[in-house]
Amino acid sequence: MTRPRFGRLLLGLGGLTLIGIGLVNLLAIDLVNLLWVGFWLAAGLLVHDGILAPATAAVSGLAAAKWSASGRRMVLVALVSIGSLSLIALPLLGKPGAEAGNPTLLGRNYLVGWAVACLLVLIGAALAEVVGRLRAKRGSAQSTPAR
Amino acid sequence: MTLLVPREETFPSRGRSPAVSARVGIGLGIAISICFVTGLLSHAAQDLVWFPWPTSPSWGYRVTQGAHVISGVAAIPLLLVKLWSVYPRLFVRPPVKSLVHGLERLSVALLVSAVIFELTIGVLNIAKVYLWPFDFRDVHFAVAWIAAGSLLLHIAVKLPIIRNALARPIEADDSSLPVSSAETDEQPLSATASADPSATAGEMPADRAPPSLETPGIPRRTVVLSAYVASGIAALSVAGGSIPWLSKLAVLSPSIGTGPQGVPINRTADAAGITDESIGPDYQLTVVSESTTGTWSLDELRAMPQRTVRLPITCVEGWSTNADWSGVRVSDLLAAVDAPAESRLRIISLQTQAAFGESVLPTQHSADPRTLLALRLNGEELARDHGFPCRLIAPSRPGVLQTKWVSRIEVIG
Repeated sequence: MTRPRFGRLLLGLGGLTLIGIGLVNLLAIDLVNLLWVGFWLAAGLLVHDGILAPATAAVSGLAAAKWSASGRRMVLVALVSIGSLSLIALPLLGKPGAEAGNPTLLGRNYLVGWAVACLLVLIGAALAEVVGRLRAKRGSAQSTPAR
Repeated sequence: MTLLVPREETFPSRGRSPAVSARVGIGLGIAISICFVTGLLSHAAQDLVWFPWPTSPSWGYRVTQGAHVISGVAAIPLLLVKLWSVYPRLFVRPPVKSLVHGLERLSVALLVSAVIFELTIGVLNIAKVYLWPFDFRDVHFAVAWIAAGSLLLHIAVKLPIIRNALARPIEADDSSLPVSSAETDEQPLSATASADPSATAGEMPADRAPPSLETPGIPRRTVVLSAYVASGIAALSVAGGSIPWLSKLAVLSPSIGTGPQGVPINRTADAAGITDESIGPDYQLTVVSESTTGTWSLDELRAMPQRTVRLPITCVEGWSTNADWSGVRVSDLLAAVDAPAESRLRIISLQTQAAFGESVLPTQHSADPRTLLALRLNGEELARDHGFPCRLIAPSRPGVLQTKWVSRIEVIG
């Protein structure tokens, strides 16, 4: 037991050291900016814990009520993918960061790209579900003893 | 009322289990580690003058910075599912059982907020959306240490649970698992957990089934699968920014993968405040050594021995493109002003606006024969937005330091 505990202790101390380095670097920032950092740190946590997580629970509850147990699996895979893609796409939609006169950056049609990616995810999930059902059907047919 | 003030039991999904947290946590830990290490390397390449950032392989920075952005994006779905799996723990009662428990919860809050913060401002940065007044690089760097440190601390604290969860079959009943590393005498995570993956809330004894936002019927294997599939898809949606043959799939990459002369532009001449006059016929390059000052007009630079190299240009925001660059070796210019090839240089641009108007070129880059003051790009005279009349191009160097519209080079060491 001593060695694992020693390893954990070292890991923990290493973690505290890195946190310390981060704090020293943060404290080099002026107070106004530091307050902004604090605001963003808290906002991220609150938005996740207060909005995103309960909304996800509500959506998964609704999805669970609508879909069969087997269909629900692929719905879950699709929803996690689409949800993540949507979060990543959010700052790109509308291209608020685009610079006039430079179409080489933020020059894609992100709305279409996001929609196509989501559609492909849905098609992939549906195909996986169909293949899974066919396999299950074939498997159960084969396992039926011949007379 | 129970829904308004949730308890752990409000979320009875079997997926919300250490079995899922540990398995998704492995991927998340790997993604964050890659992101952290490559982020440190990027800072070393940009800011640490003493750090001997190698010039070979020429695609070194392309790989590390591409990995930084791709791993950060890939971490997002893993983080979301990981947080989903432990979300009920937020409502543990009583909220603080002891000083140790309180500190443990505080460290988790620090970890979660730091990782969400890093991924959020990272994604906003590659989209060039700045919703804050602070310097992105300084803060992203500082909070990265906090995120990585609190991750290590979290792993150290949770190691027994992680080991236990990984040692057991993924769908095994949780009721015998400890839920907190600090105490093993706590209540099990879910008194209603069942070994049957297809169990639903409706199948629980009525007196034990709590009011709930969800039903618990999805197998954990599927939850883990969803995290990794989503992670792969998210990575693919941006990877083409760094990996050219995936460019068509990179629907969420900020770079379109091409531009004038086949190379995207991060900052245009107009955005940098370059005037027609400053790059007109009177343009002169000045190179200053300890003993000599040399000046060259554009025609004189063209008359010097020209070299062609194929080097990638890599933006710190992750995108990169290979190109053929032609121009004068920096070491040839140094020889002309009697300076050794292994000189540390300050490269100064004509730009009057925006950051990175000058950069420091380390000795190993100055001496590298592939480091050019480029006059041509992919067979054509350098476009105005690519740095006409001349720009620096060096192997394995962050794009922001490949100074454009170069007017002056000073030997500083």
